[in-house]
Amino acid sequence: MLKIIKKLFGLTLLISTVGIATYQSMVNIGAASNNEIVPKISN
Amino acid sequence: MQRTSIKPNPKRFVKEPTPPMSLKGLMLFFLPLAALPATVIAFGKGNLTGIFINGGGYALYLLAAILLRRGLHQEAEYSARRISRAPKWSFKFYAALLVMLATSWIAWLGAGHTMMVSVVFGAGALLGMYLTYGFDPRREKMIGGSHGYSADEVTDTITAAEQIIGHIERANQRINNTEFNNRILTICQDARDVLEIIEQDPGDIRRARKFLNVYLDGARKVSEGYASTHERMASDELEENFREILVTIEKVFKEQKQKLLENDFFDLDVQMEVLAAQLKREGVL
Repeated sequence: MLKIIKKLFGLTLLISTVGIATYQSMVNIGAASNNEIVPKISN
Repeated sequence: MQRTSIKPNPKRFVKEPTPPMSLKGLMLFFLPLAALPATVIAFGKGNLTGIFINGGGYALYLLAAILLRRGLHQEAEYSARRISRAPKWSFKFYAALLVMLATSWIAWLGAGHTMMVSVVFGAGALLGMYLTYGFDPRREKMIGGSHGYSADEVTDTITAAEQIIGHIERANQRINNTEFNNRILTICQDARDVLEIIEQDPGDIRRARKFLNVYLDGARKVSEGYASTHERMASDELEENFREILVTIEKVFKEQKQKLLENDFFDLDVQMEVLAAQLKREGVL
């Protein structure tokens, strides 16, 4: 049981960190104007 | 009436030439997929920094996924063996480090988070990798009664013997004679049974070393020699000689197995000498 919880927690952590970082990077580059990269995600 | 159930011994691990495809670890190929359109968008906008950040990040993830799958395969082999040394390369650990690096890199330079937040992203990814896949096994696996042999010695001996059996089986595929094919298959099976006995009691290595180093290799030389000779010329005398050797090898291997099981030391050597004499006569040894 503990093993499953550990795995699920790990999976959630991995998906959220990697997924969010790459998704935000995609959104960020999409929002950036040509030849420029914005330092923060635009709201 | 109370029933007792006997748990059968697990099957001995035999390394397959082409391991079956496993789905484990494939997730890491798809999880950072958003970095791919980000790279394409960066291309479209002519944003060189964006291409470098997202493309480089995705490449790191791909490398991590490849290492992770290698580590998982290595771990599966380690778990399947009764005796095994710790894996030489910590592929799963390297994969986790790469995921941490790639996540921090993309969170900082791609998503635009502060350095501290990016470090937290990376640490989260590292922890996620550890909890999901774990790290590589570090301890050698040895069963009781090793009689002073290390897992390395036992593994090396067994791996070498398995390779020789593989050679014999490959030579067998080149022989077009059902009787010989069946005899060789039986010899290989007996040899594998001997390896199983050694794995269960590594102390038997001392007694079986001659068998593994000399006679198993003798059987390989005979099979390979016959396989290449009979392709060029067929002769009744050659066939008869080969049949005789196979019968002797088969008999001695079976006896070897039995003697190892019975811990009968003396008879084992006597039988081996008989086989050695015959192999010498045939010019194999």
